[in-house]
Amino acid sequence: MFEGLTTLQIIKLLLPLLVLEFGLKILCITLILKNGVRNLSKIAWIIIVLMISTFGSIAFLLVGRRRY
Amino acid sequence: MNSFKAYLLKEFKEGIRSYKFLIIGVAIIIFAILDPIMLKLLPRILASQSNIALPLDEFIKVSQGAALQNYLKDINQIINIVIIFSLMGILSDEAKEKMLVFPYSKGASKAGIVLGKFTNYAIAISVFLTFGFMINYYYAGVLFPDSFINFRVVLVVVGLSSIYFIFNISLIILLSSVFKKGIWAGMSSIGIIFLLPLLGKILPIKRYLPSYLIDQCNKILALNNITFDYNVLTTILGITIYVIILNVTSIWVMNGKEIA
Amino acid sequence: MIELKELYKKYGSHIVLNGISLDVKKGSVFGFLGHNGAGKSTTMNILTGLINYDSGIVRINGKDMKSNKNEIMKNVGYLPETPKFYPYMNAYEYLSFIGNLSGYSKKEIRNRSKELLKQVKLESAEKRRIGGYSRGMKQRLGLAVSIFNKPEILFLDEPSSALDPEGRREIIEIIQNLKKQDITVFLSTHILNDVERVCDEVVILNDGEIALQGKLNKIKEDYILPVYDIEFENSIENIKELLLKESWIYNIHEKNKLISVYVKDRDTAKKQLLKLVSRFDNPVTSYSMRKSNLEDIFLRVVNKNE
Repeated sequence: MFEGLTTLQIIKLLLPLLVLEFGLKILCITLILKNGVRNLSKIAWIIIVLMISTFGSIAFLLVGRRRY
Repeated sequence: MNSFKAYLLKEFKEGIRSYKFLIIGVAIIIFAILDPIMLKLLPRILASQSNIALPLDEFIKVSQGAALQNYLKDINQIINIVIIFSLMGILSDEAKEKMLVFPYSKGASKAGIVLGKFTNYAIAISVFLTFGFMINYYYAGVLFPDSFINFRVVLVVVGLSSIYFIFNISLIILLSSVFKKGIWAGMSSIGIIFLLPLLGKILPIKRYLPSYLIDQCNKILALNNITFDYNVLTTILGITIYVIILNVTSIWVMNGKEIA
Repeated sequence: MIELKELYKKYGSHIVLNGISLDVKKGSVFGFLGHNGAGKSTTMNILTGLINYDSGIVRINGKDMKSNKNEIMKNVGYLPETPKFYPYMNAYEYLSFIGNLSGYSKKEIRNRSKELLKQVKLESAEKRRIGGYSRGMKQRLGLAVSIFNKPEILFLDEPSSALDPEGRREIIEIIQNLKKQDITVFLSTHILNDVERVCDEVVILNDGEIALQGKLNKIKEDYILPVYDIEFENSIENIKELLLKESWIYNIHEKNKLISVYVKDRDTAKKQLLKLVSRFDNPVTSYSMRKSNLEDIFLRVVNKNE
């Protein structure tokens, strides 16, 4: 796929993306379970966060997070 | 000055704790990485789905500059919307939730509040954009090693796009001071920010519009050379004046607003 | 200290304040009473510079509100009815934020914050986010915020209304303490019991107008018209109508078998009321005279204006 790059290099390139994406998902799921949600149900937000990459988490942080 | 400092600090804290920095930062950085990767993979995905061995690599000849242009386009569209949605409640929410009662009763100056918020996000977004472009520059360079772009061009792109976003921030702040609900501030910001460039197509005022900076960023990335159609300083000067007008108007609106 | 002359405020066509004038002296605790919607909060918001007024004069410390707003604000503290904080901060951070706003140095902020958190008993919760505080804790933190800059005048809008008896007692104690420090307190409330405990002077506001104003003990003397509570053995149909025919009786409250008779003329009542009651074919099981408390005065004043 990435001609001219070794597998290790490809992993190195993709790693930050995976770390960011999964870090974001873990943070969102933790917030959903710990602090609760707004606008939609917990289950709905968990599905959104898990299924939609990046924007699922961003949408949750913007409009789904319970602000106490 | 006290109000400015207090609000700058408060807004920084809020940016972290309400995840606004995280949202904007992550969006800018994820796209910086994802964008060149998608650009690299797209021809192959297309090829695997069409079942015909097309010489796609020849059709889509991507350079580092083109990858950066693509990122610039995403920043101007998707990231712009993410920033608008993150900041649309910046004043309206505080007024609606009566958060300003205590600060006002302590004699907080409206100028300090508006400028504190503005400064915080102007700096934050410029910093995020710098990181975003650096990361994108690196990835695009690794994935499309055929042609390199001058690093100085990228630095100019960072500067110009930051100035463009600083204009957007002051516009969002003004609309957030006018509307009671953040969502209306957000919607009208999107409307104005995306319709304004069209004005340049009808009237001969293109180079006085903030979006002209993005046009010029595109151009210098395509040419790999820092040359502008017009003197871009005129545009920057214009934007500086707009930003001052927008901020002064926000302060004026907040001064007349009953927040209790 | 606080001077109001002919203050008017309306929202659209609805007149909220219809020419209010009052005068509050330094070091006094001033009780500001009225129904919900009588215009108390509006007056408080005007006095603290948060909202504008249509006409009239507002002077605080001899300075006009419109031209010296920021200067006045520095010497004034305000606790709104429902204090709102940035929920992601903790109590200490919020007090620091207020300190920064008022231009205190780092050291001053630290000392003053610690001192206030101790005073309002929030030391143990100072590192917890305010978003998780109870109503009473927010009220106490609000009080700390309002007195942070050592104001000469303190406006408290219903400070104890939403609190349990213990929380109310604590707030009242703090107010009594403030009085000793020569701080002028302007207290809006509908809990009359609190007013009787701390206030020197009261104003009763009704429908945007001042219905009564004066020193609390003077008012009590003036309004010392007795109330008779009479309990009957059987139900009390049409007794009210019959009693109200007498010119010296001006109001009657009835509840089940109990009636409260408000009389204008004490001497006549002493002689006549018992005779009158005995004429009904309804045995009296209890008959007692009650002195007017602030609640009775309040009801009388407000009803008279209706």
